[in-house]
Amino acid sequence: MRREAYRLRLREVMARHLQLDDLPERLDDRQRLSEDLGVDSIMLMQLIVWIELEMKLDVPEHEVDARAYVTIGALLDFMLTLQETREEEVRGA
Amino acid sequence: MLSHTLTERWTDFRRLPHLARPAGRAYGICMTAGHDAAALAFYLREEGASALLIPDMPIDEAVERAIEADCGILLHGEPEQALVLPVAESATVPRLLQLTSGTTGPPRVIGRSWSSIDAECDAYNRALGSVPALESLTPVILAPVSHAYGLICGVMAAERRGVSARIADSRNPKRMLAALREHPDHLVYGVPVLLHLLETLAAGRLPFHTLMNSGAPLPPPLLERLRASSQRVMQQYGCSELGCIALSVEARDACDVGRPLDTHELSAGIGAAEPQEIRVRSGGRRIDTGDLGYLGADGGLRLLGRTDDLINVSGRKVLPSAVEQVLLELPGVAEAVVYRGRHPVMGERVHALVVPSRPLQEQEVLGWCRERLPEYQTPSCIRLVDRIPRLPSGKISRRRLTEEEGQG
Repeated sequence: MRREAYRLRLREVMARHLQLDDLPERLDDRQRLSEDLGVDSIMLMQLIVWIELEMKLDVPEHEVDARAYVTIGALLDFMLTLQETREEEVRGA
Repeated sequence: MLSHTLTERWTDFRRLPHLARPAGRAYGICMTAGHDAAALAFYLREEGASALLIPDMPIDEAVERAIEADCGILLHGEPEQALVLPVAESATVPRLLQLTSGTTGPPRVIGRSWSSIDAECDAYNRALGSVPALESLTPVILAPVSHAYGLICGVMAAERRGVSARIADSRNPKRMLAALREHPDHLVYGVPVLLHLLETLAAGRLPFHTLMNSGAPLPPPLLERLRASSQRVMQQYGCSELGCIALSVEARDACDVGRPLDTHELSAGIGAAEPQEIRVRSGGRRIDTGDLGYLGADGGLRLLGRTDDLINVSGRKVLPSAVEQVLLELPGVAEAVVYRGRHPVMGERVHALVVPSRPLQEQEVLGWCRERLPEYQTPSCIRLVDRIPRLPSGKISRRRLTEEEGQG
């Protein structure tokens, strides 16, 4: 299931690139990014960069509804709406 | 003549009861969108009112800030949302009010008359004068306009040279990158953490035109990468009381913040060996900045950090940036920060956090330092980390690192 695969990758990215030490073994839909996981506004921007670059998901260029970043569940829902970036787009353009 | 994008909302503002007759009053402005904050600031200036810039924050915190600064009204989220505050407003010269971040001591309110801000903008534009085809560059403001750097230097100074700035604050870095692509002749107003994000995201595929950095010096490896992928990297330095103090139209090294504006007289150390506190005289005032620097042979100011970042190792003063420089020269060190460690018996010690870009051992880093630094400057504790902790502003606070280590 794509959602569960994203959940695992998201945890990896958060642990590696945001250096969040106290992440739970499994990210739960109800966990809040800011209050429960310690993701501040700057880290959130970094997370978007890594969702694009490491998870190869094409984040849109318009303002994203802030509610998409409140909980893990909302973030996974948002990620499921994204297209995977094609390799030629990554290299070219 | 103000640009249409900033004045088009004034008609709407005049229809709102709480904004219809603002003259003489003081407003706290805490907007979700930077464009609203800038439009309000220009409107209140035009109408002879005072404006307090408040970064986007929850309403209860914003109320506290607005009351601290004696504002009778808080606008929160959108210009339509007003809250009357229990404050006895007293008539003052209409001004721009700012809260200092409080890295030293509690937050303070600093007020600057709109006319003194116009004077700053003019001096700032003169300092930018040597940038080729300046009028053809579109300022793209990524730094928050709730701070003086974004609002005054980015938006207001541009208006005074007849250029309209594009405010592109966003939670989405891809949107920022899109704004740069839309304006290929951009003059970006960024801070290190945002420039770093954009550089990572662009991955060399989008050529940058002109970049301005402020808030903190760029880490040297990032400066080099940005210089390679852009036509020009500039840096500026300032404080809340005076606004911009110095500006480098071509940042040659990470601490190069250029020449002082022509309205300022500046004293600092002479030469790298003897940095001193940067003191500025301007318009009959003297400001002791608490920042440490020296004037280079070219007359340009080099900024080295806060005076209270100096580490006193048994009576000998260690400059954190000098040790960081040595650490960054080791291949495989992506970022480094040096700060004051405390030892119950030895007193102050040199501690370092290092972000490696390849597998690295603490012993290897230590050996590198021992070969290049006198013993008292060599870090007694080096920790390899994935990320350097930053304040919400993106700045690194060495003082905070010391405090957190003390608690931990």
